[in-house]
Amino acid sequence: MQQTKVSLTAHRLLSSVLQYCLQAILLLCGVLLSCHVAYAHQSSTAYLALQQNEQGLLHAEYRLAVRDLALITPLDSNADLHISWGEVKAQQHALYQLLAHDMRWSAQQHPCQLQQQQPVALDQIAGMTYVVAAFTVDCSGMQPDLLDYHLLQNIDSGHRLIMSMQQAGEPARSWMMAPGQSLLQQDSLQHTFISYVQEGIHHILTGYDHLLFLLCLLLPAVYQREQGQWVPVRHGSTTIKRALYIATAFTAAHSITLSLAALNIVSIPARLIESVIAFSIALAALNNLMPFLGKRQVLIAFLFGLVHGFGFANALSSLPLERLAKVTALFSFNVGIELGQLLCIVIFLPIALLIRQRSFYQRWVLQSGSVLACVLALLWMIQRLFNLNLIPG
Amino acid sequence: MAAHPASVRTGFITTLLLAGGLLGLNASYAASYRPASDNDIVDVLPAGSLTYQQLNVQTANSTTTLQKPPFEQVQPRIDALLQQAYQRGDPRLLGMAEAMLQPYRQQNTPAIRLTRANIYQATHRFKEARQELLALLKQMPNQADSLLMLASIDTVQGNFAAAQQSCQQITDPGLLVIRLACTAQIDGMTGKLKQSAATLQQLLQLNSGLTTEQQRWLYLMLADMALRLDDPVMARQVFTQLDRDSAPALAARADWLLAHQAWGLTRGLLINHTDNDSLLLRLAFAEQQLAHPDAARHRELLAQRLQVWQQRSETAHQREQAQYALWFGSAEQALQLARLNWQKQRESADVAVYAQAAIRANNPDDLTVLQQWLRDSGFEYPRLTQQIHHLLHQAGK
Repeated sequence: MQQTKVSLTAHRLLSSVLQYCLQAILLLCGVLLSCHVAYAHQSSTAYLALQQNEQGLLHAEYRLAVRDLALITPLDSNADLHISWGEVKAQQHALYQLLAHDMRWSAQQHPCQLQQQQPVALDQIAGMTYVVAAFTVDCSGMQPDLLDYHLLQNIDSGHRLIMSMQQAGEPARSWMMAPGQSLLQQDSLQHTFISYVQEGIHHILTGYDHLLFLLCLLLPAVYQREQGQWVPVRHGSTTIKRALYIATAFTAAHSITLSLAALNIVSIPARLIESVIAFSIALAALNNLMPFLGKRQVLIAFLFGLVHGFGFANALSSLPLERLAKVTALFSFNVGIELGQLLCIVIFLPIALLIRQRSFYQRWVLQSGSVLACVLALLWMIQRLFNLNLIPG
Repeated sequence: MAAHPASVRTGFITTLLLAGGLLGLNASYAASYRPASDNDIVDVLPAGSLTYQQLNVQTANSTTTLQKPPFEQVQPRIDALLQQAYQRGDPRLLGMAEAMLQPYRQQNTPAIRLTRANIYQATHRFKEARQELLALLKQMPNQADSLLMLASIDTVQGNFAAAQQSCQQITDPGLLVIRLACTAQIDGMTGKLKQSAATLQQLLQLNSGLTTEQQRWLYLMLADMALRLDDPVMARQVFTQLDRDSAPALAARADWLLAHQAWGLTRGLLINHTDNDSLLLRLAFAEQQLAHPDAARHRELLAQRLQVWQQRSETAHQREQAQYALWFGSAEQALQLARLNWQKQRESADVAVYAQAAIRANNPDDLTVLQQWLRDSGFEYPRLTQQIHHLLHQAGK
């Protein structure tokens, strides 16, 4: 009885809404409709077996699925889907070049060199064909302590590297890593700290839009407004104090939003953030030309610092999974950014203080520099907002 | 800094895998070789594989966050990968789809959220999928795709009331069939198995406008219902219509054949699908029952595949692990694995593997848990319910 009722209802309603038909459904395909999926092929998995001899030389055997090799080299040259041994051998050089580029080793922050040991071979792991690349890692007599692995990173998010390490006098150990950095030795927190501080410094020194914003705020720090004019400060300490306030406000603000974004608590579209960052530079530069913010530079540094923090988060590499390491990484990345900022301030302020009395500074550095920064920032903002490609950045 | 010590989830899994005759990784390293001729074919890429050239263009287009193309340009490629991943059961394609979506991680348009949720669901990251869907539904209340996916996740996890609620919220009259099918799926797990099977059959008869994927969805539900009802007439109707290529359809066919001890037919169906672990599992069991010479080889291959999943710390395969232990290991091992799986998933196959493990181990505690759950939910699986009831009756419970 109930079946008939359902059937009739369905039939009646279906006829009446025929015009909608099922083309209205955009994504309602099989993928959404069932969880009975047996996702059960092999995910992309590479293997790295490391063996360290008593002289400290590290022998490595890297195994990469032929299917993965086909994604990063023109392996299937005749596009027939059948991979011959000759085709694999033809990509040997390309594979070692990729390894040199995307599998970087370092010992106490010094880069190591890969040296190919023998021609590539093949292997079978769990029914899949793997290409085997054997090499040594030469760190000028030191023990490599860090591996930076990025193969397939932008191609397959499921790619994992399973590593095994045998060192003389130590029990063998193995671990799995996603593309990113992995410590080869076991004093992890210290390395996490150092490596993320370096990453922070590197980012602030190469992220010219953040520096330009800071610079725009600091350019007038050697002056004060008196009767609508820029007048050089009498004492250097006023400038240092002002710079310190600005830098601290900027750091405090970006630390908050960087943490929120890195921990996936808040997420804002990158395009919006990058555009507002450009806008912040234009605003700060404009304020140098036509002061309208009064003494609120510290507030501006804080407010826009919040936005720049989201920008930093975009540049932060993946955080470690373990809680303490994650907090350490986040903290040290912020420390790195702060150190980078301090370095710039330490270089900029003494020079600015020295030449603040000269008209050259006010006309060319402060005013022309601000005009240039403002134009550049507006161009960035337009190209970021509308996804154009006018100038680099 | 992504250093993760290889986590060994459970000691007994390791024992199980070792008992399965696994060679250690280092042992297999010794087996590297160089073919004699350059013309020897060493691997065959799956048809429709992404090529280096295609990927190179993509990478060049998305080197920076600011230069990436609009999502609408990339979405068809991601959707195609997800569709292929579903049909072939190949997680590599999911990884590629996720990588393609990665440049848009800071964006939260409905289309991006839905695609992200889709990938999360497919990789069994249900919590993350749910978060995306709930956020999307805040942006677009009653968005049908989100509601359907949410219903699907709740069904998998045994939250039938919540799933039913999501189905009911699909109010677009153009999607009436989908809503009725969604509802019937939940009804079929909550005490109205025969009625919902009839509804699905009528929906299939009534509507010729269903897409192939939608038809497959309905037929797969019916295949599951036919298996639980042990209804050969329904099974014949379903399997005459269901495709013979996609991984889910092959698994459904094999499950029916295995339940009826048609070992030879199962082998014939799956012999060319050893790439897929889930199908390989069924093949290896059929071959074991046939005492086929390939049985040991396929079983060992399967054990190696399970070891890779374990090395990768993947948890999406607990059902297969439990089934492997049930067929090739001890009842106790199977029961422990099935219990773990039961905490995460409650689809028919999960109920079946837990029940079969509990029946084989004759464990009254687990049997009681199952009996209670079957009563509370109204889930029907007459053959298993009778056995559970019988064993508990014997144990005086």
